[in-house]
Amino acid sequence: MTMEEALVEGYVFDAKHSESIDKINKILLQYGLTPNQSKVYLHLTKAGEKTASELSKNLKIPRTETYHLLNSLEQKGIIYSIFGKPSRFNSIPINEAMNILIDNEKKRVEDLESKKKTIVSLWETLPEFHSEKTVLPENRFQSLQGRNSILVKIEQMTKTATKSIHVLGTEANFIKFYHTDFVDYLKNTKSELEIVTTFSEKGNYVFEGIDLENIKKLDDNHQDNFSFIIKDESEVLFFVNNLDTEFSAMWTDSKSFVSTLESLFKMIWRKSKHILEKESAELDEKQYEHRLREIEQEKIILDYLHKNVLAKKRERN
Amino acid sequence: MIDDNEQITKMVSTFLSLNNHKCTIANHAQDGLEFMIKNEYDAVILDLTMPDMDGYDILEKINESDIRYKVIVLTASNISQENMEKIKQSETKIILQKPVDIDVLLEKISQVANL
Repeated sequence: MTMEEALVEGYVFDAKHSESIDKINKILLQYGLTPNQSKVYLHLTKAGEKTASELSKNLKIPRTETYHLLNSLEQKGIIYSIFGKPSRFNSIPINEAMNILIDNEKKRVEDLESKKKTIVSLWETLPEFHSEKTVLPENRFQSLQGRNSILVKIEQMTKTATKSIHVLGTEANFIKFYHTDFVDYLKNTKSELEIVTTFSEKGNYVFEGIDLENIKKLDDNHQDNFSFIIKDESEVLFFVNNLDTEFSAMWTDSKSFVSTLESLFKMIWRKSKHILEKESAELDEKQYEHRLREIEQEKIILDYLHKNVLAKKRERN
Repeated sequence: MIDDNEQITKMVSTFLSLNNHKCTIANHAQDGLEFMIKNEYDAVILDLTMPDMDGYDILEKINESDIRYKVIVLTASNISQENMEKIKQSETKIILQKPVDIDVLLEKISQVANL
């Protein structure tokens, strides 16, 4: 808050007070208040009870925003309203308000801690990959939560890949990345791209835009709802709890883990057929069947016509 | 009769004329649709698989319009469950898969067209 603002707001400080207000303002931001929330709170603390209209006028903040600010400060517990027409607002004394803000921040950290427990428990559901206590450089693990974190990892993997990117999973697994840059990351990789996935009749829109040469059809009997992306046979991003709404994945460069999944991928890739091959074969078969039925129909009608024309000729003769 | 197979349309038309029925042929779906809008017919024999506009498009356009026709689907294609739902929602009275016995075809046409 500048000296000029302080003057406008109805309480006059000299230059040294203005400096203190600026300091308090900055500190309050660290306690989770926005600049305007801090402004409103400080004004109420110094100027006393005010209506929303008065605050809006004094602080030159639009009235609608002033109501939002008052509402949020009330929810934080550092101001209160006095019922009346119009309602008036006042602040909790600053020492009490600071305690409330500290408690709020503590609760936020507690919330983060509880989420940490979820990640750890997820981790515990995964098998142990090595018994050595010392973590080797190639045995790193990262548990990723949230679509953005996972996308950042996919971007890193696809951009730095020099040899291959292997993707395996059903469309349902990857549908969560629809409308993101996921496909672009895959398309733009400079390494060899191989994808094994389901291919619905309506078209594989999840991997839309990727050359069909790079995609093979995952067997419809493939029931395991797992998916992973392997980079250069050295890193893997393995998706966990795919059916949950929460995005979770685990990245690792653990050799044993990566080589197991790479072998699995290669085996499935070998067994699977290219989308193009299968579609084309199916199409030929369908066209052949269709044409055969047409010919049979023509023959039936032709036989009838022959018989009838001959019969009529005989009648005439 | 709307069917892109010229042979079949000619033969069915001859067959129907031998049985004292008049048949208008359209070998393009768009032509068939225009005939249906401009003229009146007792029944329409409709193929499903045609280039450009197919039989399903025609059924959909009939549904969207005020014109109502008794449709006999005569197709050599297999009908998927999804497409079957489209047909059920249309004016289609009978579905016949090629090859169909000629007597059955005549019987169904007579039945649908109340001839």
